[in-house]
Amino acid sequence: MAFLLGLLGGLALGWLWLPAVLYERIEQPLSFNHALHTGEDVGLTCEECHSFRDDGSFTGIPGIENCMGCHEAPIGESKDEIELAGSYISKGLEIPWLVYSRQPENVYFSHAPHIHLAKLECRRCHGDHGTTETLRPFERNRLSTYSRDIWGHRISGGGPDPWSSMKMDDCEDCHKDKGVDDCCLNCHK
Amino acid sequence: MMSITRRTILKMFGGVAAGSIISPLPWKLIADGTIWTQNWSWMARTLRGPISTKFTTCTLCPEGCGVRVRMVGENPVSVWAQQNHPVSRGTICPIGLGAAQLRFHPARIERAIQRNGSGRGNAWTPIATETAIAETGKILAELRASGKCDGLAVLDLRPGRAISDLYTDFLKLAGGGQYLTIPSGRDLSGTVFKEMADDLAGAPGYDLLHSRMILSFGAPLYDGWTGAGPVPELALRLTGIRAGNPPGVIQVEPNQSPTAAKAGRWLAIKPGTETTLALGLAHVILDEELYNKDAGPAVLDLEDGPQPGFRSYVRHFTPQRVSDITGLAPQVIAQTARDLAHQQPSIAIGAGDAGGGPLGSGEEAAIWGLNCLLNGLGRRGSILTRPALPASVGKDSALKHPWTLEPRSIWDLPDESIHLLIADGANPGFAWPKQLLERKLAPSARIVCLTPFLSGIAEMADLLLPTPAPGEWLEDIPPQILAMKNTYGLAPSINPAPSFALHPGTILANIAIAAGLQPPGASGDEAVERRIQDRIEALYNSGRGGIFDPAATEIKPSNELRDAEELRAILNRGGCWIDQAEPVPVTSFRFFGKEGRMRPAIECVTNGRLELLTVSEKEYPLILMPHGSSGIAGGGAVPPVLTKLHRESNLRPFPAQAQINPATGRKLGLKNRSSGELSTPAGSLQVWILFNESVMPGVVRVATGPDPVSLGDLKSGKGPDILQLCAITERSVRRVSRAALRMI
Ligand code: SF4
Repeated sequence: MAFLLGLLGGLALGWLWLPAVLYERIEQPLSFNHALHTGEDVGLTCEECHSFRDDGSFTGIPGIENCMGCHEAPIGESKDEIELAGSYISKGLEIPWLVYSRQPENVYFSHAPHIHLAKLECRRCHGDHGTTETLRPFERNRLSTYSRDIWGHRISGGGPDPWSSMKMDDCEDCHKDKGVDDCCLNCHK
Repeated sequence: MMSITRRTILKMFGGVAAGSIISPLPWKLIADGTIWTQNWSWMARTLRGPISTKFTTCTLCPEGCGVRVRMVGENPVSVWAQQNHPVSRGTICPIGLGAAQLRFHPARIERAIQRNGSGRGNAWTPIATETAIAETGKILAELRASGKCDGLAVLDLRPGRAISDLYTDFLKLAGGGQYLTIPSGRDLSGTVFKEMADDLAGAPGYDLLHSRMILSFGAPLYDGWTGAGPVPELALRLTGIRAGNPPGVIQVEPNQSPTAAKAGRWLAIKPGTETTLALGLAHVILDEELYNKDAGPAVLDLEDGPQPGFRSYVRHFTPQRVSDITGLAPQVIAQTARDLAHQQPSIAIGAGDAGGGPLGSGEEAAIWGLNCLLNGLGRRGSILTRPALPASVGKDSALKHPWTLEPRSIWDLPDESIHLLIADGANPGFAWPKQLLERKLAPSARIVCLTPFLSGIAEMADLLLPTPAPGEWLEDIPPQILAMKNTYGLAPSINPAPSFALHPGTILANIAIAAGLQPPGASGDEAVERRIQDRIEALYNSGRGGIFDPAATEIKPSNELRDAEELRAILNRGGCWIDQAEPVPVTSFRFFGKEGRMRPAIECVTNGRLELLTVSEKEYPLILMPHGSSGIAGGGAVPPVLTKLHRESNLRPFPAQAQINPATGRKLGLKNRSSGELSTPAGSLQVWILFNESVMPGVVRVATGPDPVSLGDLKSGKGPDILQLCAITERSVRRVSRAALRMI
């Protein structure tokens, strides 16, 4: 009985307690509604904000310049709208977004070959992020400092969908499927 | 109710342990804990910041490969080859790949230092830069006052750059002194050619890429001969060869080097007998009438005159006689000569390797003669002669010379004639015997080195003044010796120099001021800028050549540019000017040079090099052959990551290793991987004996670099300086020496 109780306690530690204490939940500086921006009312496409520059590099998260195009004067009176106008647009400051998919600095990743050559859809790695109505908290691993999205939201790692995790194994598996020759220097430059 | 006993608690802990093991707890903690150890505050961290790319030119050796640098903020983090660059053609060497590390090299000098006591000990103490400059200025003033200005010398290991102009201007300001350099194997080869080609207005260059067959006399074509340059095209040609076809590349070399292993035919020649082979090939070509004397320049000494002509001279070099001396089969010699004559354009190349040094004048003369018989002089795919660079009008230059003054070879200087030597710290790209420089120094001579690193020539100096590292200051890259075309590139500063580093031009100006002189005009970066601007204007005004722009796919003719500023802008973003001028024709040629001056050089090596013939074979049964690749052999600082190639993996050799054939080892009673002593009549060194099948029996091969200090391992001290054991003859020729090896 004691052993069984201990066993259950051990399992609870690993499966419930660990994820609760390992990840620090940090709210994004502002809420952002992807669904609204890409919906019928606004009608933006993904590429209008997440575009490629002329030199082929990917802009990633758009800068405040992009937001200014529409939000120079606040649209509506929501808390976030006021915050956007007062704290960032009027001061010309960039919004310090926390990037869920940020790889560590020793990883070189270029969007261009994945989008232009391999013709991958954004969804292949970023899931349904483009249709969300709000931004979930960023979860930072207290030990490794990496985003939880790299390991995956399951504490055991990975998940059912291709975008569930973004580890080296995931890159390698996809490269293997697509017949891409790998060498260390491809991604660790 | 369950009573809690010690046993219950133990069981519970057992359960917790078992439960944890089948949960992610330990595994996830191990994985994340490992990453956590990489984030400790004292661990090197990858930089964060906006990522950008800069195109520039590598200045770590004289080759000038085009590179693109990945920047994180202001910091270069990785270096790659520039696609389609006309010099390096999309390749760079391992030194260039690791170039971003050099700023943090452990041998980097962060303040002026002086050597403790006299002699060449290895302890240094800091000294204030102003004091160091004042002391040097004082020595210069004393030399001037005592009328011994000839005792002042500036040693420029890479002449022809804009900074070279500042060195010559400094000497002019000082009122005399010597502008010196140490010639490489390629320099020697070019000098011999000029001796043989009458009234030549240009410099010879190898057109390797358009030749159908290359006969290389030991040049490591695939392993750091001319940096990274034409390797991909050559490699492609080799792999495209089908069995039965004539080989694209024939390598003449005693040892099975990487180039010999890849070549279509490897001629494993006895060490030091290259001249005999070249003359033997000439014999076959003339004997079988494979030479068309109407196809090239007028040859003035082919037939007999007051002296026997070349035809009579090579008559004695029959395949059988050449076979006895070189160890190659007579049929192989004859077949090679026929292949070269039939597969035209073909080319024979010498110039030695960066570690093994020049081939020697006799060898070079015989090889140039062979090129003449192959109708290669002035022919595409063989030897083309490039015209001089457009002259610089030098608005600000006190000397108003085109490009730079011809430096004097250090070997031509009388012994003990230098009292104050100011040395430039650039990596020359090739090894040179330090003892010969020692010989030129007066007993009380001071060496002041302007260098970013305590390696190479800096290790001989008494006083070191820190200068910016490569990539931290604006440099220019003049064309290479024996390159087919003139080129000109710039390496703008890609990250700022640290405050402790002074521009060499500024140091010189301050030394002049400390000696009571008044330097005219600008100094430092500004002076280099002006010289570079002069050169660019000269290039633009000549209307010659084209410009390669990394952003474009084609080379644009220079005369389509708006002005010199546009040319400058393209060079600044990693472009390269490339000459399109017609080659200068070679009108006449002499196999024995003007007034037969090359005849003694050829004659004295026709039975092999004298270094081997004059030392007892019984006492010294082996032949020592130093070797090395461009950039690494020069002794300058190289990226510490190269330790993986040279020490950890043994993929590339290390100077402490004496490589011998296993059969030779067994015959001499030596054990593989044991400690040994390598000795020659010049001295002895401790080495690590390594058996290697690719080394010719009877030969011991030792690499000239990189030594531990070049790699940043300062604690191990310098590796063995193998060149100190070598028999050194004319102009640093030291390819072969007699040696003995024993275990200790
Ligand atoms: S060969 Fe010389 S110039 Fe080219 S990458 Fe290597 S070190 Fe740099």
